Amino acid sequence: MVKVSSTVVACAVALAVGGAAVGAQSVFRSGVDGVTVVVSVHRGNQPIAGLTSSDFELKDNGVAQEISSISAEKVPLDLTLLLDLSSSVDGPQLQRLKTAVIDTAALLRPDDRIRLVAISQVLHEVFSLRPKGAAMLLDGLSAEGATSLYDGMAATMMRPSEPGRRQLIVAFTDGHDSTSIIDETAAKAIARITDSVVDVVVPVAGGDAPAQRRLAQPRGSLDSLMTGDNIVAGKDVAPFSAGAADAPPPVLADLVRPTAGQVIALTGSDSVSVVFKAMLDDFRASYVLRYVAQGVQEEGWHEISIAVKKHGRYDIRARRGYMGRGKIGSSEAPR
Amino acid sequence: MPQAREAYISALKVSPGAHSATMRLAALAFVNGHGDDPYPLVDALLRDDDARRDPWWSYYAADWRFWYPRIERVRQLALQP
Repeated sequence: MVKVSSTVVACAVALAVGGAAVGAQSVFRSGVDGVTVVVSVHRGNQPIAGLTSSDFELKDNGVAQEISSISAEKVPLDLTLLLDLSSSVDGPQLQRLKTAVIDTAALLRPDDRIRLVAISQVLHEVFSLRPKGAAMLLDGLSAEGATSLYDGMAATMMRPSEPGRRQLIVAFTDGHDSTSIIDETAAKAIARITDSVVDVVVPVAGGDAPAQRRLAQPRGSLDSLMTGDNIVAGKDVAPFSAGAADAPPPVLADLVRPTAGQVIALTGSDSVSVVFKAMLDDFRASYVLRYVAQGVQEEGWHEISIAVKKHGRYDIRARRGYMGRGKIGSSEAPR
Repeated sequence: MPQAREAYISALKVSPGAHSATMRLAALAFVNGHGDDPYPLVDALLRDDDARRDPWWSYYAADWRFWYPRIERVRQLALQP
């Protein structure tokens, strides 16, 4: 059982009192075109569709902002698959990952793009962003060496989203870093200000709850907040591979939470392709809000809070904020 | 931070494209929001990251640094008729 912090309890209470408000989650970086925020809204395990800008209340450093545009399904996405191809991932599992890459690429829409980055001791962009149907050179993929997981996550999170597009990173890893130059603290600092949403899939040992069922749990809802800090995991799962842990390392949840991402535990019976598809569908259903910050200083850290005005209990996931232009003081830095 | 930045840049002059200094310089630029543009640094690394180029790996990984050239040599030998 995960110990529930007072902050989480406060959020949970807010969720329970109608007109859900979450003082943290989906954002982007400011620029001349304003600020873009990716927001996921669920009730239970169902994404809420059909919301308009008037349904949202958005504050930038506590100042209410006018949402200039809102869109959802139509915004093209850039998907980065980040695969841990260290020596712990070999044989049948490597083949499953190759299949998952092909299956996931087939799900893209005409304006979407996909790229593949492999992590071992070093980082390797197997192929750069390309549209559905473009060649993907997977035959040469091999699994060997150590794992620079934090380096891989940091490198992909530092890629800025292009205007008019949104960016999802889906990492597959056993969650154990062995050779990164970027340490956990630095990786978390990057996660707090990236404009990508980062999801992580972790193979675990034991359990009988298929990933589909676990994905169906209301993430970020009262139940999931009380039980797992956005980690969605079964209690007892069949062995996935030798050496797999019973649950994803908690550090991963800490890492992806500020990006509005999630950690999914994958058991031996789960299909990697199905889990990747679920993450893609979930991301595609999110809203993209844009606004030009008014009434706040441009420089420094901007805390963003988002609420849905409609009565009801919603699970809202979005980033905590973004870094404005210019130099920031140490007291302003996101923690 | 300026001293760290100078140190990473100096390291990259000695070992151009080294993984360790590149990652650290990019992270510094990204988190602080000004100065060097982090993504071109990272993008170059993703396209060509070679452990042999980085002296840090020699210290950190000891004889592991021989893995990549040797396994590549084994592959070449295996492909020979």
